[in-house]
Amino acid sequence: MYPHERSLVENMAGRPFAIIGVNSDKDLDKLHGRLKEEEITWRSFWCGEDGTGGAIPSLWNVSGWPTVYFIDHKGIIREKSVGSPDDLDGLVERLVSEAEGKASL
Amino acid sequence: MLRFLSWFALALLVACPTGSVQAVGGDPVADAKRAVEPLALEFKVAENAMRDRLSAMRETPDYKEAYEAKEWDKLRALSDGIVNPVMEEWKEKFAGVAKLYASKEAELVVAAAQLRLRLLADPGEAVERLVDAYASSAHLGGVIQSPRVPQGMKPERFAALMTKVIEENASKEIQAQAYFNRGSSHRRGRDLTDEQKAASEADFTKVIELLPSDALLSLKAQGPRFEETRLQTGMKAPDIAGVDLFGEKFKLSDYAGKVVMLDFWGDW
Repeated sequence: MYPHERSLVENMAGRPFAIIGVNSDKDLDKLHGRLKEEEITWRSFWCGEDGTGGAIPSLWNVSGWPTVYFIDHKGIIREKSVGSPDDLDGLVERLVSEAEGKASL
Repeated sequence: MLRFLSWFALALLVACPTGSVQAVGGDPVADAKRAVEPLALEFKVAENAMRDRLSAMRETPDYKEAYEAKEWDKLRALSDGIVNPVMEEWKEKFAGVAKLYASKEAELVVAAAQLRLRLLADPGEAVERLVDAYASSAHLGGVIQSPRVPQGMKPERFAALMTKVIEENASKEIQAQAYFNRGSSHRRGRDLTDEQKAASEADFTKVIELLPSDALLSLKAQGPRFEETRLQTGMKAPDIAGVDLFGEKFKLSDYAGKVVMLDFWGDW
C-alpha cells in the first residue's frame, strides 16, 4: 500500500488532504528505519508496546489491518474499509473536490 | 551475618536464573518471578535468533525450489527443523523451573510465562487445572491474561472456568479479565445469536464498570459498542489524541477542514 499512499500524498500536495496513520508496530527503532526506506512521510499515532492491542485500535474495535476510515472536511465518516478500498484515487478525489468546492463558496 | 547470607542467596539466585537453584526466602511468588523474568528475556533472544535463521533458510535454493514446486510438506519440514529444537529446549527449561513450584501458588507465575510465550504442550490442560486450583488467588491474572479459548478446550468450558473466577476471586482486575474472557468466548463466529450478543454485552458492561475507563481492557470492552454507535458512515468521527512515532503529541482534530484518510497500519 505504501507506493499508492506515496503517490496520493504527492498528487494531493497543496490540497486539503492528509493521510494520518495509526501504527501498530512494536519496535520503533526498526520502524524508523522503514519510514526512511519506504519514504513514509505522513504522520502516525503510535499504539505503543501493545501494538495491535493498543488503546486506539482497541476502542475503535479494529480487527483487521489495514483498516481505513475516510473522514471528510466536516469531520464526517464517509467510507470505511478493511483492506485498501477498490477505487482509492477516485474516492479521495471526490471528497477533496467536495472540500474545495465548499471552501470556495 | 544473617543479612549477609540472605544477600548471598539472592545474588546466587539472580546469577543462576535458569532454575538450577532451589527457591529461597519466604515468598515463593517473588522467588518464582525472579527465576522466570530473566529466563523469559533469554528466550526472547533465542527466539529472535531463530527468526533470523528462518529468514536465512528461506533464501536457500532448497527452500525456493520447494516453494516454486508447492511442496508444502517439505517447506514445513524445513522450518520445523529450525523451530522445533529451539522450542523443545525452552519448553524443558521452563518445565524445570515449574517443577520447583509444583502444587504451590507460585506455579501460577511460571505458568503465566509459559502460556504467554507458548511454551506449553497443552495450554488447555494448564488453564483448566490452575483455574480450578487457584480460582481465588491474587496471582491468577497471568494465567487468564489471554481471552483466547485455549486449543483443545470447548468455549463453553472456558466460559464456565471464567464464571468460577468471577465468583471466587476478590480482585477487580482479575474479575474484569474473567468477564472479558467470558464475553469474548460468546463472540466466536461471525453471526452471533441475539442471546450470545446480549450475554457478551452484559459481560463487557461489567468490565467497564470494574475498571477505570482508560484501562486497556476497558477500552477493548468498549470497542464493539463504540464502533456500533460512533464509527458508522455518516457519523462525526471521534477525536483521537496521542503521540506520533517520534513522541510528539497531536490530535486527529488538528487536521479539521481537511479530508483525512485514517489508516490503521503496521509494517508487516
